[in-house]
Amino acid sequence: MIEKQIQYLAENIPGITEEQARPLLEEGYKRNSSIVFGGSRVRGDYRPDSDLDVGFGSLKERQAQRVIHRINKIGPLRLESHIQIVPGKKTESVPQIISPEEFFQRSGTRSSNDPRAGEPYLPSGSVTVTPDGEILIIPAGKMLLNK
Amino acid sequence: MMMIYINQRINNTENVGYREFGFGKEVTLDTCSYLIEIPKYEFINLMNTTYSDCIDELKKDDEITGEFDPPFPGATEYPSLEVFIEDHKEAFVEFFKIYFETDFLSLLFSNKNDPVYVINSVDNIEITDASVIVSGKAYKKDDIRLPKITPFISQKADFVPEMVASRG
Repeated sequence: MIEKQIQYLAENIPGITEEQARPLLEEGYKRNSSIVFGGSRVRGDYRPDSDLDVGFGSLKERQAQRVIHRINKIGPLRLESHIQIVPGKKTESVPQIISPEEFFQRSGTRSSNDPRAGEPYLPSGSVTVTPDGEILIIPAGKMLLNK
Repeated sequence: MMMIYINQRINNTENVGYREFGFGKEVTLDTCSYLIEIPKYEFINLMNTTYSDCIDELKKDDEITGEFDPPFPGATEYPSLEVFIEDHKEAFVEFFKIYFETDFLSLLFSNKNDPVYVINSVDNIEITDASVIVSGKAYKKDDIRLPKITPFISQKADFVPEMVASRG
């Protein structure tokens, strides 16, 4: 089942390779967590240096940091490492995250300290892969009702 | 006492914030250097709870995965923060980079204060006999260019004479 998921990710998320997707899924699954992809690489407006935004459905903040650090050592893409997209995470400018899928549906205006302050950001939708082999695609603007 | 220097001049913590999204990524704005020097005992007081909570989570993760990721070569357990800083400086710097960069900044600075300077990166961490020194790049918030809204302004200018004319 994991092979189909890895192949899907490598074919549909620009920049990620099977060599990077495999350990990412393995790290998530051994903690029984889904892995959720979103951000500009899912939305399609990414730049060559864009990070890969990855959330985890059942990880704590420190677990996510540990996994992200391990996967960043592999490359080629760099996973966003300073905001952990996990349930319960919040910062001064990020309201509490309910789920990664919910986070990737957010839209608004970049905060005043951001170098691109005032620019709008749009929902990306998300691609979730689960330990039981599912691939869930949630387009921008939609929510998964049974989450 | 903790000190922060921006371009080698002492500054007030209330003037400083930090970037949340994209922290560490290059910016097209002009940047300046910053340096935070904090006595070790103050650093330990500041970070101790965050460190303990982090270790608790990592221990739980070790139980789940059945693996132990030694925080420094040869470690068989997680050290106290004090021992980590004193006896395993290089490993602590790596650990700090993985887990604590933004936690550390969020404990020192608040973005709610409408800062003058925004820290963009942590480029270097040094542990001396007396202090922990964190340095990197910041940018001035005033240098951020807000998106232009000229299309709306020019539209308004075009419409005004007609509206005035129709009213007349």
